[in-house]
Amino acid sequence: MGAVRFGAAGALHRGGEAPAGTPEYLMPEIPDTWMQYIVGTEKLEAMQADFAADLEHAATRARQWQQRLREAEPLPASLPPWAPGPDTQP
Amino acid sequence: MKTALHQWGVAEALSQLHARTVSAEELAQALLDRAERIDGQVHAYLWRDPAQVLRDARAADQRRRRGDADDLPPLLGVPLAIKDVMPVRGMPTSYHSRWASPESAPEDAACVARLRATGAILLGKLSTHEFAIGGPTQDLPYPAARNPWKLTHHPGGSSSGAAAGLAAALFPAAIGTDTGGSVRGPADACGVLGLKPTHGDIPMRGIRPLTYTLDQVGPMTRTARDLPLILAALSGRPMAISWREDLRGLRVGYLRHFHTEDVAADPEIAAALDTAAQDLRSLGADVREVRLPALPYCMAITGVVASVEAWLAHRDGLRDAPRKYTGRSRRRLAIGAFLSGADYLDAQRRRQALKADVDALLADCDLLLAASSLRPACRIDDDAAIDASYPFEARSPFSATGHPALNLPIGFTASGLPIGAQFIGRYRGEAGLIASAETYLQARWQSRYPLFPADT
Repeated sequence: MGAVRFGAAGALHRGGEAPAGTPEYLMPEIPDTWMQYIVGTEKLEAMQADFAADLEHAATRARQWQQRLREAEPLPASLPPWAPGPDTQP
Repeated sequence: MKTALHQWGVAEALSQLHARTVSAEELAQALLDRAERIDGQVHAYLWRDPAQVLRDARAADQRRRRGDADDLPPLLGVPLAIKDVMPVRGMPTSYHSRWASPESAPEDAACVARLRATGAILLGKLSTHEFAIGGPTQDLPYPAARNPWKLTHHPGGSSSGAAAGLAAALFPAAIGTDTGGSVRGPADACGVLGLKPTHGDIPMRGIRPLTYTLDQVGPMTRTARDLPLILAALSGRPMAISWREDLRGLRVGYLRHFHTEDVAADPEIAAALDTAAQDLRSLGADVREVRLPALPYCMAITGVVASVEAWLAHRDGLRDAPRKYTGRSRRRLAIGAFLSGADYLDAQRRRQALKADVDALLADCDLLLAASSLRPACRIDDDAAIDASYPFEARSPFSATGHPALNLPIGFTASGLPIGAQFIGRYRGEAGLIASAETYLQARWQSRYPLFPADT
């Protein structure tokens, strides 16, 4: 099975490179396999029309948030991730 | 003027039950009758079993007759309703989804068990956004809740039925869940109070997670006086509130930049927030502007954490039966598929830094004042407006940081839709938030109810 990518108009494309005009945010970091993972390879044909719009919407939002965090001030290297502390345990 | 029985809050209902001027059965029957008359327009309920409710109410009445008044459970006979993402023994749990199972839950979620132990009467299960993340769409298996102030409009979500039913006076209190603002958002849209307590204070056991580190259970009421009664039952800890006549000595940090510089609020909402700040000053509070990182950055932290965790919670379902979800749920749940492990950990580190920023502000302030929604409720049939509304809120930063945050009503738009604001406090600082809200509401707020044809 060939690669699966979004096109600029929201359609899914198989194989080869994304068509000219594909927004940058949709190109480099969408794994070729994510769509197959979501719906299962065998269901892909039936699902792609429905899911193209939903997933492009999701990808756009993810990319916006990713960008905001990546463009933010770096954090001190020693700062650990948030974790529930003893005062926040249910 | 005498308050109608269906308009009683929790404290008023308890007072009348104690005085035996009304029985739990009469109170429950009145609310069931009201739901019968009105809920066909509001769609707050997804499920209720009047016969069981009345059996429970009669049992509460018997217990009150038999028992020593000092030894009765604290909420004996008080009717409440539960968002339909929390299992309640004997009732089905639908999540407002086609994934619903018709089978009744074999046991209560931990927080529901606590309410039951306090003697509350559980009226039924309430409308939600699908799995507490979707939204009002045409492809829902049951009708979406409507905003009682304008039935053509969105009641907010995801605890939509809880807020809509409270505003319509179908019950005196409801229990919602809040991951990124799902108690506070609908409370804002429907003009009621909704509290996201300190992270971890109320057990989530028994509730299917939407996310693993953000989900919280929260009480919703029409008055501040009612909140500690429900919160104490949910948390299992008594609450001592120092009610106050004024706000002299209270230090309030006003996060005005959220809605003036970072994301422009609707002008009516911005004006209402400035008026609320001025009202707090006139009650004696020292209100000054304070700053956090820009709102879109804070929202991105919560967005990344919530999306990755929600994707993990639902990826098998999306893979196996994507058509069982509504389109809006698919769009929102799939966001996490596009984020990496590094994105998630980066967001969790930034979450830690943001928590420290809020703690630092609260070292010098007793509470923070911030916007809740930045736009009034939109039409419920306007999909584009609903999709566009998600970034126009200031609640999610405090979902990330875990601080208690309370939505309270502060006004109405010219078109008659509610406007809310948030008070944010220190960890375990709910008592101060509630007391300050009560002082403000007593001075500046008059209870209003939407009118239904059945009321006239």
